[in-house]
Amino acid sequence: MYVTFIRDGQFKPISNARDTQEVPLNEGKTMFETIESFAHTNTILEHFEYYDIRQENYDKNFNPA
Amino acid sequence: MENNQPNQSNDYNKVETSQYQNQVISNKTKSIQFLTKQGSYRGKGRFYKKSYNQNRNNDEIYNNFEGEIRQVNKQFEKPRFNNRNNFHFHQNKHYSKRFNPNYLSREIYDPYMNQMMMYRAEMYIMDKYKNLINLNKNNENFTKTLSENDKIFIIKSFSEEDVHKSIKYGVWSSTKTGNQTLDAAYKMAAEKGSNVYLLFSCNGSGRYVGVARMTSQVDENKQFMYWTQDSKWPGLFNVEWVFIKDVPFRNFKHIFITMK
Repeated sequence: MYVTFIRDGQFKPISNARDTQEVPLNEGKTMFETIESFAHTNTILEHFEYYDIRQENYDKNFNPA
Repeated sequence: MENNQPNQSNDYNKVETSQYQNQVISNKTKSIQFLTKQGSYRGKGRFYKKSYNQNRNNDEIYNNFEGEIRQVNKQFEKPRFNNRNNFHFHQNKHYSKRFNPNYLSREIYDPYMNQMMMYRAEMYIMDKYKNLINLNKNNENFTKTLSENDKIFIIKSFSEEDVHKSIKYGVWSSTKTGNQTLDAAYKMAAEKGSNVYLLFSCNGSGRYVGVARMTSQVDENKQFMYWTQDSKWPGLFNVEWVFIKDVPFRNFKHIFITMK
């Protein structure tokens, strides 16, 4: 466990960004370009079967409708 | 009885092979008893740690499924190594974590298991999520369509399960203050005919999961039932996914921004 205190208005890499933080357009464009051109090996879709089974179990046990 | 007393003979060079074998086997059984006695110290932490490390380093002895101690010659086994040193372990860590019950076990490890799990996941998505198969290909020329008035936000979700629900139902919601900022941005963008894009990532994963586009305002009265923490996320808005791929943070290290 480690804790980092980041004050407001600091100049930081984008991996430290928080929830619902706006990205300026030029940086955002470069990010989208890298995401487009990136040859990915993994996606979240690999875990979909697992989460669907979890949802079915939730519906059986906790959701009467 | 005479054969069982070999040391009485004066010629030490004339030792029969059967006697030699008996000697070796007795030494092995002694070692096994020694280890099992150490295992009985399980209640006392200090002794247990010592014996545990000794057992781990000894490749010859390991437990069966039934709990019996089995002994195997090294000659007839395949070369075994730590899972962490194996190449496939790092390559496809995700599949093995979720579906392989022998994920960290040292005895049984099949590197082709991960490959089979990947095929299984692909087949599952081919069956049930046909609209997501060619999603990355269809949006290849996406950055050319960006206009000057578009707005981009980063979203950090607490768990991967919420992202799964948002892809499945085309829905997202943030905290109260987060919903206010996103709603204001959407209204500003809709007047100018531009869009609001969201970059999703899960906390602690060290990667971006994908990109989505807002397609509606925030309804504060609605509430989605499948979030992992229900009371924390009031409100709903619709979302359309553009990219679904994992991109690690190390590709974005050269980009700096001012923190909020």
